[in-house]
Amino acid sequence: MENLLEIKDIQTCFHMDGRDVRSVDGVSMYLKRGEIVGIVGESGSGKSVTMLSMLQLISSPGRIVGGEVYLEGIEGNLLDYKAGSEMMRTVRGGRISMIFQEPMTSLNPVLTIGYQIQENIMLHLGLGKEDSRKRAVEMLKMVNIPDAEERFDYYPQQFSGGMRQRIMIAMAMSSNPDVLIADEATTALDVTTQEQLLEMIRDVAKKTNTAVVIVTHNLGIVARYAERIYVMYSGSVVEMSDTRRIFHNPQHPYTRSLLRAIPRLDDPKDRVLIPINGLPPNPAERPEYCPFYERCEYRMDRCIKNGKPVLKELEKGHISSCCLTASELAQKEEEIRNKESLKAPKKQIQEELCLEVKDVRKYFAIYEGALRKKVGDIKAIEDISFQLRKGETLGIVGESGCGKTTLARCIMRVYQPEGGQIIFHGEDIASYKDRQLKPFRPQMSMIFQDPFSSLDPRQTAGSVVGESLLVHKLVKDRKEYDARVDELFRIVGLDPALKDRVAHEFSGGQRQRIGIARAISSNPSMIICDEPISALDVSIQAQIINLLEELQAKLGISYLFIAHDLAVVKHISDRVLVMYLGKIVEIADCLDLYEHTLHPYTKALLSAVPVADPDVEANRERIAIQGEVPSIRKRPDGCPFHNRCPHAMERCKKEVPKLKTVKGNHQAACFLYE
Amino acid sequence: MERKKEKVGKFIRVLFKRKIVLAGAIGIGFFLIVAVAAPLLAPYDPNKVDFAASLSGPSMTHWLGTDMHGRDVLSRIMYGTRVSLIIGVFAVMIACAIGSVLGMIAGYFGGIADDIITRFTEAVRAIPQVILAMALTAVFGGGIRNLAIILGISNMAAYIRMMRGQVLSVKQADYIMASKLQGVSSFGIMFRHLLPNCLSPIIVLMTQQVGGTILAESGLSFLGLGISAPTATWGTMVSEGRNYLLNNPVFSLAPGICVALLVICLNMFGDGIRDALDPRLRGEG
Repeated sequence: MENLLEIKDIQTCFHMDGRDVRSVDGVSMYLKRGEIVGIVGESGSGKSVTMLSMLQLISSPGRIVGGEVYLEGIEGNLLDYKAGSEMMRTVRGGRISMIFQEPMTSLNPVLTIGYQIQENIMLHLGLGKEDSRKRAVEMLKMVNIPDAEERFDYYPQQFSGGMRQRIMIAMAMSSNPDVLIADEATTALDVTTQEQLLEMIRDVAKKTNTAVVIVTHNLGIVARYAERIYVMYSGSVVEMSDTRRIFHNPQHPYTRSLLRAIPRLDDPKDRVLIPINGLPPNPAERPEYCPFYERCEYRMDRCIKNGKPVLKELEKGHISSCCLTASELAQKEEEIRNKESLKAPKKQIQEELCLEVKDVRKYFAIYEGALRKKVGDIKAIEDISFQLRKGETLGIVGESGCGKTTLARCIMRVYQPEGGQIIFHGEDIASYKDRQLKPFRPQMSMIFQDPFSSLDPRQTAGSVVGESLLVHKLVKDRKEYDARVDELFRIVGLDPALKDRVAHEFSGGQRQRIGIARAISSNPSMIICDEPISALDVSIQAQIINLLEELQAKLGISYLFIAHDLAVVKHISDRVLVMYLGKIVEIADCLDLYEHTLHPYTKALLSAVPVADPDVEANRERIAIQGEVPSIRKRPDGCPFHNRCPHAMERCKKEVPKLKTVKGNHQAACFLYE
Repeated sequence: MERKKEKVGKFIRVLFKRKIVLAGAIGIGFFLIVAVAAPLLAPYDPNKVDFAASLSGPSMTHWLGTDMHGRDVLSRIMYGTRVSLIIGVFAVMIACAIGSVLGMIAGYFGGIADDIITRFTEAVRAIPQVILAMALTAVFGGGIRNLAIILGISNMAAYIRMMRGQVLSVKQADYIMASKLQGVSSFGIMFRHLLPNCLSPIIVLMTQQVGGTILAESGLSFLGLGISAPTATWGTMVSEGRNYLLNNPVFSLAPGICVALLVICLNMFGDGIRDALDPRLRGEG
């Protein structure tokens, strides 16, 4: 066998509501020794289930119904062994290791991390206690855990999320596996941590000649780290090739559309995202023909008659499953390009201020002991000052724990700030009581990150959208109410006939549209969008971004757009504010910030974001950043960034830099520019 | 209006889609009919004493035999259904209404309100329920109305605690924040958003407690603190029959089986209501 691992035509069904739902529908893959392969696809495309099926980790109601798996050195089909057999147990964790998404739950909290790694080594390598301990420490050192020997006896909760994920990698690599599967292993982490981890995985894999499978929905990650990519859609592989060809010469319409739909960090500012219309098919109702047909811009009548397309080799090492020939695709591509007259909506930014925030501070008291004595403060945000003009979008970026959400909640007056002014339409609302705030409520609203927890599961979509109409008596009677709710549904692109359904009957993207309809229902002049697209699938994100931009142009709303995805922020924002540990480090006009970055933190942040283009990736200047974001309770003295900053000076450790105008509209808090 | 009717229709369709729920509902309906129509259905006057026939076993004249005073057991069970159902249902409704509101206030507002209500609950729970009920009946006297109120109060703590816990977890959800930010009043948030989302375990608890309350009533009646003789209740019958298990076992068993059946039916029905109220479990019905 020339390949290390081969999967042939694997099929997995889940038995639900009395029928078999085929969530993996005949996937074949191969893996060579030492290779880094990416599997990209949206949620529900079957990428994780394929990996789990290979390891026979599918539990009821799921069932592997067919296929073959071959691993070098093992006689016969791996799927012929029982799930609980000796063979499968040595393969799992021994020959093939896996790291999962959630670093908070994948380590056992009552055992020390050292013990957990040791256990794995003793089991799979058969080493004694002393030797296995030695190896465990070695592994911890390999994944750059400082003071590995001392930390051997620490418990998982004594580490941060990024550290835990490192420990997971140490554990996975400790048994000398041939294959390491990273299933969305960095999705829950900050970009700078993500970069460090993926770099490390790549280095370790190359050093030990381990093959790595990166399962992700993020095209940037695979562009930067993978050598070969499988694109999955609705339970099947639709395209496979080496990374360069996938990004420069994508063949399958899904891959092409996906690349048009995602914003990239190196995009020009006025690029229009072309969303993929519709939703991925429900696996239970997948048609007999091409599953992408309904959303495909290239489709022809032939596609629907030919049955499910099979993977064809277009050239060596490039396969794709599309009914159309290359020339037909090229012709359609031409048509689509000519049709693409969709213009970016024109927005009008007025000079008048919508919101002005001056020196806002928010502290959270720390209580200790049985009597809840106050022992100190967590300074969640400090000295926040900025302005937002009417019709403008201000992007707020920063890693988790930097105070973005606290700031949003202070402005929305969920929290009472400890000091400073929040001037909304000329009135300082920072210290208003609930009753005084009531007239302001309809004028500012919020869009939430999680479309699943932001809608009341017991209420119909219509009453969710209409609630504030009733609260603020914005409609005169029932008829007007119904008309307005219908109108709101139409504005966000939903059929008003759906308004009697409850939240769980909608998909994630539709739910987010309901959330947006709710936010605009009271005709607000400002909307705070708190990570509004990060919980959505890539092909849906563009739809929501475009909707937000369109609404802004039509209604003249100002947005505060909070996100950690710097590419999206660049696409949508007029100005961008960067936060680090509760402070603003840089504010600038969008292009200024991305092209003439001043603050070292912003530079590092930008360099950590992978771009979905392997060539751009290869030529980018990289700024490695050390360590992780410290806990806000232990904010370093002086400049909060000084202990991770490559340019740190003596002065940075003692003095706190103030936000100063460097040039024009560009402000930064750094001594380098004084 | 039409939409509302359609909604209720859908709710009932979903509710009875599962056979077990239907069975529970039929069982409850049966007991209700017996309770309401006891004077029409009962073959004898429940208090008619016939010493000549005392403690006779089941026969054609007395289907379930007679008790130590020669009273017809079947008739007494039928009349007893009234008392048991009234006390069980009303006590639970009182407990639930007051307990849920207090629990919601404690969970939603927190702070001092929470401290006071929680401490009060703990104090009530520190006293065994039956002893608390005994003390209260000793002060306020027995009778159906008093017993329902007293058992309701002694059951309240469970609802306060459960509701408070539910509210604490549900109020974290973004949709509560969203309503707050739209300027919905605390009252609106509590009753429109929190209550419907916290109701499922409360409904299950209610159906379970109806049975427990019927048993507690019987305990109190047995001690002479609850319903006084000669009014028939299931509880008093079980305790009276206890002494005559060898002479006429049906005397004590039959009311016991009635309690068990009613409780099972209530539980099955309660599960059904909970599922039908939850849009996530409702399916495409």
